[in-house]
Amino acid sequence: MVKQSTETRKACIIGLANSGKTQIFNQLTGDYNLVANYPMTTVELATGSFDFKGVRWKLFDSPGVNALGENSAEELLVRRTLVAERPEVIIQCIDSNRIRQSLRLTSELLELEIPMVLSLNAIDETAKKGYTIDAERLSRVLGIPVVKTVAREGVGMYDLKEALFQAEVPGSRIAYSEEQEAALSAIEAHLPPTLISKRKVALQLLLGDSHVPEIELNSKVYGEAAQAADDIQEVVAETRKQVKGEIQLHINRARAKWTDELYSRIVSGGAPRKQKRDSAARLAYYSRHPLYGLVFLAALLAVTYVGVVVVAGRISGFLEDTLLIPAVAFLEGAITAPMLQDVLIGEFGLLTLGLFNAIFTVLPILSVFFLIFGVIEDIGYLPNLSVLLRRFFNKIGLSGRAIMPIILGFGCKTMATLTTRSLSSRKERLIAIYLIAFALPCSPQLALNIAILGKAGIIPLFIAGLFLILVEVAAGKVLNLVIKDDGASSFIQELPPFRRPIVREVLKKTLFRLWWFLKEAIPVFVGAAAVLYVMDLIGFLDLLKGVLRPVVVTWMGLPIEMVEALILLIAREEAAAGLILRLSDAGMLTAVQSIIAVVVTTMFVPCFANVVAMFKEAGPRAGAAMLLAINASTIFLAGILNWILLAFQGMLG
Amino acid sequence: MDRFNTADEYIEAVWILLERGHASLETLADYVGSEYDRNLTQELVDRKLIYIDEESGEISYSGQGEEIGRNIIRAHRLAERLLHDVLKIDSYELAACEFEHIIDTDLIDALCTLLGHPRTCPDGLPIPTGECCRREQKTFRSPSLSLLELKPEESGRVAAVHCNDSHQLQLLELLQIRPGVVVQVHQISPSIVIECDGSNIALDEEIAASVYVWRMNRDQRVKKEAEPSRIEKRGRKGSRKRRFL
Repeated sequence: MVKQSTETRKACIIGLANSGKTQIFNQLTGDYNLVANYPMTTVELATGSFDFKGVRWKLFDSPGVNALGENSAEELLVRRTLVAERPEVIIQCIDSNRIRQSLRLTSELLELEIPMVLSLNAIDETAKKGYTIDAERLSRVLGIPVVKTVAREGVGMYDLKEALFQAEVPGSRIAYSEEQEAALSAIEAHLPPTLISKRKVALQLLLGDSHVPEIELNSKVYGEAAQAADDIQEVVAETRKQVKGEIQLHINRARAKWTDELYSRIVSGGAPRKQKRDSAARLAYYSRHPLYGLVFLAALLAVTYVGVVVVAGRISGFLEDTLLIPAVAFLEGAITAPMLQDVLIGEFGLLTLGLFNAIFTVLPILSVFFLIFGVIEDIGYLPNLSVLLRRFFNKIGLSGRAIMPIILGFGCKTMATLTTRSLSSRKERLIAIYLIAFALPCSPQLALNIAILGKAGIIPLFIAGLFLILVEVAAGKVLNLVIKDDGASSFIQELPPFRRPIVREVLKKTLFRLWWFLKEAIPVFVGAAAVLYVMDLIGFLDLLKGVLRPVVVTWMGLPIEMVEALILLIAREEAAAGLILRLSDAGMLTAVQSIIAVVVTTMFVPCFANVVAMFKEAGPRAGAAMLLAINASTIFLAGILNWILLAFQGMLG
Repeated sequence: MDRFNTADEYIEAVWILLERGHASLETLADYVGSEYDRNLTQELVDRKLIYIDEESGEISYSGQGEEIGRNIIRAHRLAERLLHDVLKIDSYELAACEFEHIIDTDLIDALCTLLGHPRTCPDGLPIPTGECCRREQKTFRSPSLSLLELKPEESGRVAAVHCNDSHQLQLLELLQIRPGVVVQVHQISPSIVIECDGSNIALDEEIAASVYVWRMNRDQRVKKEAEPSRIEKRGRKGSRKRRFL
């Protein structure tokens, strides 16, 4: 028997955020990709493949989008992928709960002139809400296969695979006004003939987009298109004069009309009179409630505390007893050269301060924290938190849109700084960047801080937390007054529904984050330990300690060993925290000192990656000014706190 | 009613006279006043819009004439309603005269629906019904209000979005917060949370203030979502070729 060579075809899954795209992807490919109930989780495009009826289908997942313009980075990413991969079929994953939004996306997709298949997903939920969608009619009207699916249960997957072979370029078309149609035809005439999705490209050019990936990424057509650029701009300018008002509004109207017409033809029934909120919706509602929401948040924080301090502490202790101590003992015995011993397992040993620090001290804490945070993320809590905190944020000069970047800061400050780009007001961007870099602990920092303070008790934890919040609020208010107003952006936040956490996904995400930590951090841990070792060796460390003694010991009340922590801090926060934990364990830190140590490490010098992001987003001047302000105020405020606490302690006797 | 210089005005005049009792060359001339031009009346006859009884001078409509007259009167009186009720303009009569020349039935029907299919003009004269009234389009008697004024669990159909920021406007559009779509308020504190097209969306006061809705009664909510939009009836005018789908 001669083995047939399998033909390869490509398909791309596109749809709204949280519409089930990745579930379909997983079902079709048998692969397990990351799904998180949080917007912007599929940052990179996942690819997989499956074989069906003699064809190997290469499948691409994509981030959720509502449109295919320039509105967001996700939209551009999808368009770039379409140019780069040239899929034969586009599978649109339609969320049956959000038909109008889905159809609007359909209106954009069919202008790509690529064969399509519709997956009418979550179709089971429409019955609960009392309406039905006529899939056959939809298929007839658009001229493409429509498959009813329930991706999370694997329903409809076979039919979907079959439908791929019947994909067609949709026969329906959005008709714009006469002037616009004329303009589109004129522009299309100037475009290189080999360009795909000409109508789409023409439309985006008419709208005045600055990025057109379909042309920019296609080297074959770029030259031709560049030559025609002037002619095209002429057409655009002419049309602008003729069309009253913004062209975008006219386009929107045409799309809205198309969507409404299609909707009225395929949707029947109405919302039942009394729609009972299901438990997920109720939980979501309470999580945003002005009163219950705070209780909910407090409960989550309590769980995090217990997890990180108690559970992780136990794990850490266990690991140390069973692995670390025997290992060090063994090494002490095995390595006889004192120099080598010093280098590896001495005070600044590459192994002790570097590797072991990372694995035995920091890793258990991060694991527990990432797990808890992962669950919170997965159930869809974070956007709801932004609802709760919005008013509070307004008081410090941040509009609602800045909430998400700041909340992301609790995940990773560097990433959060990069997302401030989405804020339209420069003032807001600056405030957000500053606050993220300043007294905000990122995930590892938060976890480690809780661990450090947990040993000292819950009151120190409370005091530190309160102090950091006050400092942030004060900083926000000061910046709000100082920076010139420029019309902050408003708050529109889509709230994805709460859902049960998918254990497999949470675990996968946690492991991914831990792996990333190990990969990125350990070399830095080891490197930083090496730097410290060298500094100690050449006597520079002692010199530094002497110089900094007045600040560190006298003013901030910390033991002189903290200087080492501060140096590590520049490299990575976790390294510093690991050191502090060891100091705390060894009983070398009082409660007050623990508080100051935590506060200082949180506020002082953001990690290197964060600094880079700061300079990138705020510009070099603003970035430098912020860095200076952050460090100066840290030293100043930490000292003040120290003296206040000592005075307080004195009073209590 | 000052410019009696077009045939349209005469057709309208005929309707009014017929309302009052009867129309004839005499009453028409009387009504029009000093500017009365017999030629215009003749034009109407030539265009087969009216018939004039040779003996009595009685004027009556042809089928086509009646249709035209009806539309003019309808447009005029609906305009009066708009200007008087909604815009509270005192000199509504004058402005309404301009409106009556709009011949786009869809537009007039839209206006009629907007106003809630009023039966009479501010002066009490009857407004001829349109297709929209006959189909008993559900409508909202109250003027539109901003989302801020809705209470939790109340719904409204978006009338307009008054937003100057094009970026925000686009965001709202993509979330389907646009004229014609129903939104329901779920929460007003600490932020306003609405549901629109199956999505829950949190808004601040500024954006909510820019979204204007017509409040819906509870029973209207049930049927509203699936009713065919008024655009669909375009088919009846034989313009099927212009349909989008």
